[in-house]
Amino acid sequence: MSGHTQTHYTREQAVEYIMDQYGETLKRTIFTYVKNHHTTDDIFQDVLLQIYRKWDRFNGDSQLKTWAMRIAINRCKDYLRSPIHRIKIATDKWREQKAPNYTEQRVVQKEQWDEIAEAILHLPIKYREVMILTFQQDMTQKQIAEATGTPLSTIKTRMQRARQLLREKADEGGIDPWIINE
Amino acid sequence: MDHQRIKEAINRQIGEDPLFTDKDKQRFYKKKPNRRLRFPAVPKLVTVLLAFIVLSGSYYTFLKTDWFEQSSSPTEEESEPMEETPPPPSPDPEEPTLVKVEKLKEVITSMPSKSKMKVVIDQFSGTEVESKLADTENANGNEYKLFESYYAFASTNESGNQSAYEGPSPPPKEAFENGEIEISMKLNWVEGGERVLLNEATILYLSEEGDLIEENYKVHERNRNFIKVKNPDDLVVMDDLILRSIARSVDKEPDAITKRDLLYLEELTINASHLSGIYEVDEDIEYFKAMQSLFVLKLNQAIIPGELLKEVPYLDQATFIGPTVDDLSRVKEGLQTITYLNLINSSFRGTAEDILELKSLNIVRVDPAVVPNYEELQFEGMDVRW
Repeated sequence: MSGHTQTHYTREQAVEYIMDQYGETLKRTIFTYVKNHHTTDDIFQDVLLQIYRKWDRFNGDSQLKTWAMRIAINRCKDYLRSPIHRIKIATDKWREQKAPNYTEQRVVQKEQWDEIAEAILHLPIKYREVMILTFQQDMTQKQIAEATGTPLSTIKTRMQRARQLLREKADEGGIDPWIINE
Repeated sequence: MDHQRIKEAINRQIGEDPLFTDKDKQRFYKKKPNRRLRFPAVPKLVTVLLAFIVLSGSYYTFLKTDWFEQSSSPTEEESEPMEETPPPPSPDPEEPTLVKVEKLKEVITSMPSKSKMKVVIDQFSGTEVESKLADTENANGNEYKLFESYYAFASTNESGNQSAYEGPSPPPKEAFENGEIEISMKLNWVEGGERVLLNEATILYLSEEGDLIEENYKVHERNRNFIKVKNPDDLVVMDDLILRSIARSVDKEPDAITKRDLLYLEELTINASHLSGIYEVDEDIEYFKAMQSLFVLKLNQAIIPGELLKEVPYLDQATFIGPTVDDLSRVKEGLQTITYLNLINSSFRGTAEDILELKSLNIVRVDPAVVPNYEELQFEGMDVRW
């Protein structure tokens, strides 16, 4: 599906394509914001509906994935600001909701990476999002700036600050500093 | 950092099974709006009839649904362990009050659904004393309703029977001392959209030493555990200016401020600008330990030393006005939890390094002219405003 614009594809085809190509990616990104599988399911449905409704406005200036990601990120941030989120937040519970086959058996090195991943998922949202979009979604800083609607210089600063926060976490123990300083 | 290994680790944290399944597709196609009639020749009457059938079905479903168990997602049954209550603890009428309280707290912090909480209350032989609609709020097009429910857990008398508590809510200390009630519990539920969620819980009981203990748990972003105060109805003895400041926040008379008011105090402004010098707060540290809800602090020509402030566990925002903080050395110990600091009208003449010592800080309001290396703050990702 090259060209990805409304002149070539109907909104039904576009949503079908996005689900097939980016469904998993979008849901994983949504989860890193809301940290709850059930809420992830609900927000993902909202995102698909918004894509369906806004397809006329997609002009192909950005990549389809970045455009869809921006809709998902904005929807997650709306949710995090909502009263219903404030009353149901359970960030300390989210680990209980991981997939059941989450393995308990790891070698020491693997645990170190898991410690870092956990530390990333506990960063404040503005630092977490740059780390997740960089490392989990393989996005460039320019794409992140576009997807989050944030100036590129701010993304660079946040990346620096996120690394520093992880270094501080390493200093507190639990993570080998060399992994972050690499 | 090793890009691939981080990616794999993050994905392990999220879950190794695919999150996107055919259920997501099916759910979307069920909800997808129909933009236009594909068959314009179909009489409108048919559409109206269909709508009637759907609405009737929805209304019937609404009437038949146990809203306490209502799921907003067709996949909830498979994917929502969060609202599952752990196996209810087995209550024993002979066990000490504190053990029962701990078991109730365990259930409350597991964020139970309303129906599951009811099962636990029944198991503990609790009775609902009172339930009322306390507040409504409209937000994002939804109406949220706050319900307050009081439950009583009665003491067991010598013949093994329990008498129902019929006094006021919340019960006075005398009711506990007279054995009319062993534990009082107030639960606040928020009903919004299709959900009923536990918002707040308050438990009252008598300690072994004979003190009335109030413990409170709120499900909100501060992510704290139960907060606790001993003898919540005891009056507070503090300097008049502070009592008046607290009284303004909680909308009470200064001489009626109790320790319970300190427990739930969320914002405190101390304005000493009418005094000739700097007003330095020097009060019993226990009172600051009681301020477990204090979130926002504004000090105008007043200062609270860091060794007292550090006892306030969830302080989030601080504003200093006047000639009280040339640098942050006197207060930084107590500001390690704040995310917002306003120094714009203060005498602050410190450096970016001073501000960076506040580890949780995200936003600072400060005049760039007095912090020559303020770009360093921005470089560190801090939002600098003036």
